[in-house]
Amino acid sequence: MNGPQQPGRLPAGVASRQRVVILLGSAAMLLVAVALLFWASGKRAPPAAAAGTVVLADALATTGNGRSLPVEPVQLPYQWDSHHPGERGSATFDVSFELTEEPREPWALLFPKIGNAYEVTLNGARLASRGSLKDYDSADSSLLPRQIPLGGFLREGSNHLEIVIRADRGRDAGLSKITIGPASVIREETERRYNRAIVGATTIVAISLGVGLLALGFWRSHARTIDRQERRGEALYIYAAAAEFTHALVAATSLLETPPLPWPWWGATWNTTLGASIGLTTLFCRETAEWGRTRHATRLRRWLAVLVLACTPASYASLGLGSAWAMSAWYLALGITVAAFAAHFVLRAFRGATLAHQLAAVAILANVAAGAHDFYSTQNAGDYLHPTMLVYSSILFDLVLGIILILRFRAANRRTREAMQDLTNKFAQRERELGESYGRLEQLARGQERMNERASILRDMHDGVGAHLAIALRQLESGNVSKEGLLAPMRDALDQLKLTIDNVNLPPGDVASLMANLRYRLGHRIESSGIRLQWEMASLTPVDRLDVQSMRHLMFILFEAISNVLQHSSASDLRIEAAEVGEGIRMRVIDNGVGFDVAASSDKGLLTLRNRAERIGARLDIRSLPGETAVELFIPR
Amino acid sequence: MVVRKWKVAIVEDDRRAREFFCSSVSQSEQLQLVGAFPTVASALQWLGEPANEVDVLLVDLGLPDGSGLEVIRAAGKLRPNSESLVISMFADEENVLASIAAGALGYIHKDSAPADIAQVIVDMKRGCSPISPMIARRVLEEFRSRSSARAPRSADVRTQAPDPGAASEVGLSDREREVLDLIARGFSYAEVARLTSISVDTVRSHIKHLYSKLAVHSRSEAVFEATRMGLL
Repeated sequence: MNGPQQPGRLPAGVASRQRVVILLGSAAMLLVAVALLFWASGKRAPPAAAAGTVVLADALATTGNGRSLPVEPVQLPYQWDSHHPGERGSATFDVSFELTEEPREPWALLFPKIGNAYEVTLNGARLASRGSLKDYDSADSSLLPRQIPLGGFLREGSNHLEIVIRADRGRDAGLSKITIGPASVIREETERRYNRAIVGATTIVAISLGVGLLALGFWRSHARTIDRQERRGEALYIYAAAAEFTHALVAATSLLETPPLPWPWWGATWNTTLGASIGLTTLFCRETAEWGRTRHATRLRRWLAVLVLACTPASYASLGLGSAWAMSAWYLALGITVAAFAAHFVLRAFRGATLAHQLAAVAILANVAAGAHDFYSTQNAGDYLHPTMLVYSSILFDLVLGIILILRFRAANRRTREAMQDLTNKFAQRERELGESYGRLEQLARGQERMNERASILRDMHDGVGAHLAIALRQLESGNVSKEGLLAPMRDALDQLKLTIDNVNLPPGDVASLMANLRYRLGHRIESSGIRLQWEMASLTPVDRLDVQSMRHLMFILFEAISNVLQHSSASDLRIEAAEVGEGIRMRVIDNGVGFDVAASSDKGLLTLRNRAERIGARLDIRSLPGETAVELFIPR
Repeated sequence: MVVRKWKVAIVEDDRRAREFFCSSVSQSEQLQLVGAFPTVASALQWLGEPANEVDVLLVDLGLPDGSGLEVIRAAGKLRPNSESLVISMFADEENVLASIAAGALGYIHKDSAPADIAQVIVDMKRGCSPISPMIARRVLEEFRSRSSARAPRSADVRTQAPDPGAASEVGLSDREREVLDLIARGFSYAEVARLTSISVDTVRSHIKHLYSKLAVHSRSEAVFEATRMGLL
């Protein structure tokens, strides 16, 4: 009950309505159970009332282990363990009864409990036997009711019934009251008792297995879908599954006449399984109340574990070694623990607990009521303890446990769905934000690209057209003007302007087109300079890595190289070539002019050329001798 | 035999440029100036008079009341025997291609020398259109894109053109493609002629043929082309 995220809680609106429905339903189930209980006990009491039957309860008994045992009168039922705690032995019961006349119809005997093994003799004739009277700890005949037909051995007047039983240590041995009467009535009664035992056990096994499998399935689904933060919810399913499976095991093996282990070990095993089932159910309730993470809860779990582990030695001490107190002490410890927990659990259930907690409390109350009824009715009937109602209430408990599991699983699922939806929303939101910021980035990038392009064009204008116009202006201002001196920079300016415009349309990387255009724009100047042009242009594959700016740099380098030849070389031949060489394109501008001293030249133009070549990742190589000057540019791919 | 003078009309809004072209035409013995107009409207009105004969139109594109392309298209309809040249400062490819699509057979630079202007006009009448490497490249691309656009219908094209191997691009012969490729790589007409072992005149006629092919294609696909070039 700490924190708002409680697995068992339903959302406010649904909660109140559903809670009322479920609680009312549970109360109705409880009422029906109580009504059935009174109906059943009313029908059964008194047990001897069955038509024409007689209940025999007085006997002369010789009981114990040894020779020359005393004969003493006893009242049936005779519970061996209460008379001979920690011992084993045999008992002989002599039961005498009178019949006013020999019955015309067949008669029979009913032993609701007899064993661990038995032999029945009537008037000196052996009627029936089951199990070995000598082999202690062998098969147990006492688990189911027995009917024995009397054949023709009944006599008018005094009859003498002798019953010998084998009693194992702590194995619930003994003899119940005996019913004698017409065989048809006895058969009916036997079948009723037999069915109740078998059907009860089978129902418990079926329902426990079903609920256990449900819990296991929920647990697997839970483990798959709920994130780590919710892991604590798992304990509920695990305890439920374990409690149900141990419960099914206990019920399934409770009627085994021939158990898979010899007695003391089988008894120890069965007791331990029962203890584990009770302990696990307690822990399930603890999870239902969401006390799983408190310090007391951890202590409870450890203490229950100690109790379950102690059960095996205690059982062995009691059943194998004869120290009956060991098992009594163990039962006392477990009883106090579970009773204290149950009291606390039930009290807290009615102070603002979760629906699951309240349901579990109702189931516990039903069990307590059933237990009390069984105890009371057994005492009243003076017979063995028959856990009649406890069987039904434990089935009720299984069902309530199943309901709690379903409630819890639905709540967890709903929260998972909500979490998933939340996550999906967050994802969508984040995606939108990413999209927006990507859009902004793209816009910025486009803006940046435009800026770069603009800057690049401006630089071209500045270095090319602007510079040439400035030269022309200075010459005009100085007054020392020759027509040629003025025309050259003006022509350069116009040519560069055209080249700049052409460059806008050049496909990036298409070096051949760039050079062809250069020739087209400068063709008339080359022609009018009287220089013979040799044009060697191979078919070139575009260089993908060259962008618009790189193309401008390349254009500028070639323009300067050709312009230099035209203006300064006094050459008669100019050879311009481009070809694929190795992993790149090699371009050459070669003239046969006067040349210049490359090393000594501090020309700003040359520096600019190298700078631009470096920017586009090209290798610029300039060799100059009188008669041959070569500017070579290699653009690796 | 009297040398025939080609009748030239000029459509140019800038007065100095118009006067420069007028005087360039007047100075040539082979040319006769028959009109000079500053607007689309005045040029169209003049063309509307059947009596006004013209062989060559020099048309500027950027006119105050519209585009010179309208005049070129009108001349193509009203004077089918006339030929148009576009006056261009930069002969940049977008403008030139749009002009060719409208029916122009070439372009003339604004900064040309007067003698060059007359020469270009006379050359054109003799069957020689100028073409720059960039225009050649674009023309190649143009035909290539047309051929790929028509690829699904290539079977029809084959049956209509029974000369196999003559058209590697749709509507472009191998020879034309070869010439265009060399021009796109910067070779001059003379160099192209040498490299392809044909005469310079043949090269020239190939080029002029290309222009009219482009215009024919363009007329039939005028809307498509104009849209593609951003004119409509």
